[in-house]
Amino acid sequence: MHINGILIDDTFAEAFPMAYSKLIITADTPALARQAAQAAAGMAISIIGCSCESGLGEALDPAETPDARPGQVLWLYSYSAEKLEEQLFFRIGQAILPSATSACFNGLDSPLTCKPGAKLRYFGDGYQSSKLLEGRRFWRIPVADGEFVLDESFGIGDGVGGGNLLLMGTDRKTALEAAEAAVEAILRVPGAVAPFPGGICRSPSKPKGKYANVPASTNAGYCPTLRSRVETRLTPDAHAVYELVIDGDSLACVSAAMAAAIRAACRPGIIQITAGNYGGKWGKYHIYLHQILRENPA
Amino acid sequence: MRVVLETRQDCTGPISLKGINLPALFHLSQGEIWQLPLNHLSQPFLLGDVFKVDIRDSDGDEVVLRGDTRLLHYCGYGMDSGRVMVEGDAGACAGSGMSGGELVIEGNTGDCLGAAMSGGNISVQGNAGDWCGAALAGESKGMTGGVILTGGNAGSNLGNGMRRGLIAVAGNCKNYAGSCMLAGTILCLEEMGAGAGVGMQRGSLVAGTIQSILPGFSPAGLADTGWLRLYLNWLEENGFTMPASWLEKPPYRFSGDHLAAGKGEILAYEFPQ
Repeated sequence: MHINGILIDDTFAEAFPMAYSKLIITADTPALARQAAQAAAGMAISIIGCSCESGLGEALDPAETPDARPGQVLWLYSYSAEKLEEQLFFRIGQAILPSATSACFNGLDSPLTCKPGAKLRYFGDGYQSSKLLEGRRFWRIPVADGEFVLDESFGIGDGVGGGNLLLMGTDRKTALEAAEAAVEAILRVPGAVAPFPGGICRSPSKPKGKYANVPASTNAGYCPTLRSRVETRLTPDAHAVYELVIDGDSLACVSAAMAAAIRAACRPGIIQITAGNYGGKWGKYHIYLHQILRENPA
Repeated sequence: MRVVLETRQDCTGPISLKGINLPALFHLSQGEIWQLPLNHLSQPFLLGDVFKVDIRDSDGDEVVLRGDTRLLHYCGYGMDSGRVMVEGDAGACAGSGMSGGELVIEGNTGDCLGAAMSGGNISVQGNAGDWCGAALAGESKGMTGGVILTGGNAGSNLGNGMRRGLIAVAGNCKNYAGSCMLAGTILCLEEMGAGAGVGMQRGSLVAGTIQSILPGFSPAGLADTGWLRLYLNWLEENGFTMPASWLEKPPYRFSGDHLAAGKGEILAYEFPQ
């Protein structure tokens, strides 16, 4: 299959079930809400290194938030509900609680929940108190600019992580421009996040490697400088590759985001678009590029 | 199903609905409803002696009380589900002991509205009497859950001994709001009377203005309380029009009652200096 003359490889991305939560962070200004969300998303790039992946969602108007202030959606993904609860506790407590004027609310109705707020309340050192509104408990933790208010419970959903695309370009500049356009398209799909910096990964990886103590290592087949030393995956005229990793709240969401990204990335200077997989042995979901393009028309 | 109970024109005295589980009427025939015993003028009667009963199909389950509804006491007493609508004023103890469902009163109510309730929602378009959301006689706790929204004013001892839940009053309330309160939230959009929060242990009283602050309360500055925005937003969504100024400036905060546990708070936008 070709789009704008660019080859779309007949392959699939191998993706995995992930647990996710949706946080609504509010503050006195949109900038403060976004700042708190960015801090909480910090370094949640890949579960390989920190057991969490995250991305900012949409900015919310006061009319869309529980406390009628500007808000910012933050998505957090992890490989299990237990690990996700750990990350929620850690990231809300470490990043959102200290952020000026912030509050943190659950944004996901789900039968499965965890209670990071029930642990974070102890930061109140005995001065914490709670409010119960329509069965929903909020903790009030005294802080120096007022109170930090957060939900006790956060919903946990069944999401999908590890959707991916590899964009091969004739040079770094054009490959990067295509990747940036693709990330914009991904983030327009509700529920989709691109957890890498700017949504773009320049270091596609493979599991484990030559050294016993590393969980992942560089995917040598996509490194232009190793072209003569390894079995390269690059076409002869490809000199830069960027990977896009996509998590979403459903398989349909990840598929739609990948399809949108492919179309956005089909620009001059891109030679081929492919996806990473492990031969289909590890991931529960196989997202075929040709199929998602047919199912998600432009 | 819609069950309409309309008082007969010859009814003149108080009618207690304490023994009638109104949501259970949906499962009874008209004849069975007529035969239900109730107390009228302190005498035993059958429901059919006092009410005309009309049963109709409708989208949702609802019991409607109409006629001279001022005579009806204990409307929705102990209800746990469904919807009860009072087309007019209600007597005393409406919604007392209820644990679920929705009670809507289009007029005013007598004393003890929602007393000792543990869940559900009560909405009153007019005024509420004394002891709204308070404890029932002989009990130590007031309401332990649920929501009471009052479109008019409320009487004295609003939320006395309240343990949990929310009471919001669009107008004024008389003296001793939140007296002996254990926890929960009371909002009075206009003026709260004297003696507010006397003996309160925990919980929150919020008032547009307050007549006086008891000596058991100490000033705690301006309160930018996130939870209050949450509640105000929720009330707006539920048809309560909030004063614009409440969303623009923080209220003054007083903590107390230090003669009790002292973990309660009064938030007031204006108070006597």
